[in-house]
Amino acid sequence: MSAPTSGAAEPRRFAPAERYAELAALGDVELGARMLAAAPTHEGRSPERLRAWARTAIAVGTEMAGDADAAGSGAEARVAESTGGLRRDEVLLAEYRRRARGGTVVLYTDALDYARTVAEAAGWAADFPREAVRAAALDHECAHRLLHGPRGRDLRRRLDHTAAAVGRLRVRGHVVGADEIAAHAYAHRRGRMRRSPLLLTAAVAATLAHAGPPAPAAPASVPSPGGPA
Amino acid sequence: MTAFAILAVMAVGVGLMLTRRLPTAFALVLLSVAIALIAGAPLTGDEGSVTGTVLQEGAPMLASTMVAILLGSWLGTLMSETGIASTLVRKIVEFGGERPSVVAVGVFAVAIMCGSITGSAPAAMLAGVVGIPAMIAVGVPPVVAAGTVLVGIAAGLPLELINWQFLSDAIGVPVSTVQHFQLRMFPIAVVGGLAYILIEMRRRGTRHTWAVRVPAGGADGGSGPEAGGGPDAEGGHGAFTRAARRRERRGDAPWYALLTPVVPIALALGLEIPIVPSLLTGLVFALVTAVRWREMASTALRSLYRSFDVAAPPIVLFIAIGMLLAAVNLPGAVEALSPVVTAISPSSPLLFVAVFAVLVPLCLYRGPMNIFGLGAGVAGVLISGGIYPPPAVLGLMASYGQVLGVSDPTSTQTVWSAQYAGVRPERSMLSTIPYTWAVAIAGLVLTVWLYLL
Repeated sequence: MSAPTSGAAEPRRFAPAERYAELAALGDVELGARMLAAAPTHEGRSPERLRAWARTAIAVGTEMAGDADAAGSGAEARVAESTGGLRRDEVLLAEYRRRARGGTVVLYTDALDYARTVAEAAGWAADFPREAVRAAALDHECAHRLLHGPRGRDLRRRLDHTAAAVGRLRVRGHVVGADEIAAHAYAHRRGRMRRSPLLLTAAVAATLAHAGPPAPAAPASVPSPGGPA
Repeated sequence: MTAFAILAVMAVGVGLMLTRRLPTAFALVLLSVAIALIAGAPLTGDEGSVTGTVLQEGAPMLASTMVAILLGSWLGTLMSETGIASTLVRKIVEFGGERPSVVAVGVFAVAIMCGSITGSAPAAMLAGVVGIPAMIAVGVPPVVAAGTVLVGIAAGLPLELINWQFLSDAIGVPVSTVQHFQLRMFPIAVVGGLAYILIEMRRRGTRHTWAVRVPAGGADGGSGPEAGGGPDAEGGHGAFTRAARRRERRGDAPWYALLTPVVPIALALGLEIPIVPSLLTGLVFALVTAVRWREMASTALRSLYRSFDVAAPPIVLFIAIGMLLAAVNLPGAVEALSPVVTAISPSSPLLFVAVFAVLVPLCLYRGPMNIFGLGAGVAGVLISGGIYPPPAVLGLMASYGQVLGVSDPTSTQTVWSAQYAGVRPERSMLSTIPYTWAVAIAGLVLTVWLYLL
C-alpha cells in the first residue's frame, strides 16, 4: 500500500496551506513580536512595545552576524549530532549547553528533518534547503554563546526596558525571549538565507497547533502532502 | 497475632495505593475499618466502635485543618487571580534574567512564599505557571526548573499555617510545639534548596534551545508554545488577543499587594494570632490591595468557589486520615501494635537518626511513612504506644515531609511541576532526592537534639 501523498489523505499532519501563506506574509518583526507575546512574562505588554523589542533584537542579531562575518569566526563550541528531538510535547531542533569547562551544541537531526518536511509542506523547500536548516541551527546556538558575553549586555542596553524606577533611578530589566529573536536573526544573516528561520519556527509551531506532536519515527520519510507550493 | 494481621492489612493498603488500584483516601477508609475490626472493635456503639468512633468521630477529627486548607486555597486562588504570584515571578526574571542562577534563586524565594500559603499542586502552580517557563527561557535546564519550584514550596512548608494545624491535629501536640520545631527546620530546608539550585546549575550548566513546544491545550486547542520560544501557533490576532485577555485577567499587581504572602505568617508568628484569623487577614489584604473596590465582592466570592475545587482533594484525604488515626488509637489496636513497634523502633538517639534515615524511601510512592497517608497511622501508633514523645514523632514526620513534598513522583506537585517543565517525574525525583534526603537527615538530627537527648 503506497503512502498517502495528499493533504486530504492526512489532513492533520500539517497545517492548512492558508495558515502557512498567512505566516509567509508577515515580516520578521511581526514574527518576532508574536514570539515574544508567547514568551512568559510578556502577557501584559502592548503589541507596539513587543514589535519595538523584536526590531531591536533583530538588529542586534544581524549586527552580530556582520561582525562574525568580518572576523571570519564561527562556532567554537563542540558540536554533536543526536536523535530524540521529536518529543511528546516538544520539537527540539538544537540546544546549546554551557558549562564552566566549555559549551556543546547538539543538533537533533530528526527534528531538523521534521522542520525541513514542514518547510516542504509549506512550499518553502527552496528557502530552507536541508543544509541551510542545519547551518541555521548551528548558528542559532552559536549566537546564544555570543550573547553570554558583551553582546548580551549590549542587547539589554539597547532594549532599554525599565524593570523598576524610583525617581530618576532606573533599573534596566531583562526581556525574556529577546535573545531568541537575536539568535534567529544571527542565523538568518550568517546563513544568507532567503527567509528568516523565524518563519520556519512559526511554521513548526503552527503545525504542532494544528496536528499535534509528530511521531518520533523517521520523519525524513514522511511524504510531502503537496502543500501550497 | 492481631498485630501481624493489622500490619498485613496495612501492607495490602500500601499495595493498593502503590498500584493505584484505589485512590489513597478510599484505601485509607477501608484500612481504618479493617484495622478497627481486627482490633476487636464492635460494629456499632458509642465507645470504641467502627461506626461511632472510627467513622463518625474520625471523619471530623482534622476539621481545623480542613478549614485552614480551604482558607489557604482561597488565598492561593486569589493570589493567582489577582496576578500577585505571577507579578512576583515576572519582576524576578526581569531583574536577574541574564543570570539563570539568580532567576532560579528568585523563583525559589517566590515558591517559598507560595508554599507558606498553600500546599501541593496549587502552590506549585502559583510559582510555576510563570516561573518554570521563565526559568527555562533564560537557560535553566528543565529538570532544575521543576526541582527549583519543588524545593521552594517544600522550604515554605515549615512556615505553612495549614501544615502547623495538620501536624498539631494529627500528632496531638499544641500548635506552639509545631511552630517551635518548624521554625528550626525552615533554615535547614532553605539551605538544602539553595544547595540544590546552585550545585545543579553548576553541574548541568545553562541550556538554550531552538525548540517549539506543543500547545498546552493540544492540537488546535492552542494557547501557543509554552516555553520553547516559538511564535504563536494560531492565526491572525491570536497572540495579542489572548495576551490582552490575560492582561485584563491577570495584570501586574501593585507592589504593596506583593506583600500578601508574608501577611498571614507575620501575624501568626509576630503577633501570635491564631491560624484562621491570620489567613482571613491575608485574604482581606489581598482583596484590598489588588482588587478594585467595585469588583471586590464578586472577586472574593468567585475565588472562594474556585478554591473549593483546589481544596477538595486534600480535604477528602484528611477526612480519611482522621478515620485512620481514630482506628489506630482504638485500645485494641494500641494494645496489639505497641509491643511490635516498640521492639523494632530504635531507642538510642544515634540509632534513631540512622534507622529513620535509612527508611526515608518508605515515604515515597505513598509508602508507609507518608504522613499524608499511612504514615499518619504509624505516627499514631508511635505516640499511643508511648514509644517516642509526641514532639519527636512530629520531628520525624516533618523531616519526612521534606522528602515526599519534593521527590515523591506520585505527589501532585511533583507530577505537575515535572510535566510542566517537560520532564518525567522520576527524573525530577532522581535530581532532587540526594538533597531532600540530606535535609531529612538534618531534620532527624534536629529532632534528636531538641526532644530525645
